[in-house]
Amino acid sequence: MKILVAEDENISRMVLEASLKKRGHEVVGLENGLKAWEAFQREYFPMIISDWLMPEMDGPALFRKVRSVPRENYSYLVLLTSLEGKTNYLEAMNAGADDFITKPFDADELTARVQVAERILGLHRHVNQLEGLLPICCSCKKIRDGQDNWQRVENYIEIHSEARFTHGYCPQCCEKWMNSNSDPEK
Amino acid sequence: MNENALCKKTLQSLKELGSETGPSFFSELLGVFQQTAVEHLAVLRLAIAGGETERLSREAHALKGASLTIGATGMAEICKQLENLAHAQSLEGAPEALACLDREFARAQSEIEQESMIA
Repeated sequence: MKILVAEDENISRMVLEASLKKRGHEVVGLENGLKAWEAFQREYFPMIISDWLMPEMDGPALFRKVRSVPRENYSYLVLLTSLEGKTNYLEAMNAGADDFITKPFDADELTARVQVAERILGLHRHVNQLEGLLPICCSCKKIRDGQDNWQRVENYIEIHSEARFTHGYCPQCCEKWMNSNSDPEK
Repeated sequence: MNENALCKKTLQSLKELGSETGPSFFSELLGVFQQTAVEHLAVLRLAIAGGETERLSREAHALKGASLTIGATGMAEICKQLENLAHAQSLEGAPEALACLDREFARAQSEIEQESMIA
């Protein structure tokens, strides 16, 4: 995975870069939020690990910028922090952070958090595929699959996702059914 | 003080990290740390002399991060004290803490030299 690292402190950045490279990731390490923002505008990074306090642009400001760009692909944002406290945690979450790593980081913890990022990014890709344009019949609401077959929505979703349906009636249909004394689907 | 200035366990894990990423990584890291620490110490001195608490806080915070990463826990602790003083807008005891930090850095440097000889 291609990871963008923004950290002004040389030693932490060197160790973080080496740790991620050792695990097979491609790393672009930059020394402040502004440079990271410029790099992000040039290309997509699935994961960004950023320090909180940095000159030019700090971590939360970088994350707010990244989140302000409408992109099809999601970027998983992790904030490095040695600060504690609920207020800071909430500020970072509001800026768009997905996760936190406390400095100095533990190698196993870093591996675990990158794995979580990969899992979440995988789910996002899957959701994107499901959310892509699907041809649907205006009348019966069947969906046309890749083989040109028209399928009921529930069949299509069951085939293309882990979701399963339990059948029932919504309150409106139920009321209609009670009034007409017939099956709401008919 | 009978403890090492540098945590042996941290140094070992950094050495292992270097053995897989590049032969010069560990010595390069120690070199960058020494250079960085010298720069931070100089700015800390200026900040204390000039009574600039914001600058003191920023520099102490940065050196604390670098020290913790390399395993210089004693240095990190003194940096934390300086950071706390800066947050409290007080420089009382800051010159003494800085002198301690200088001594702790000298100890760390001599241990780095030993490490370099082993490496």
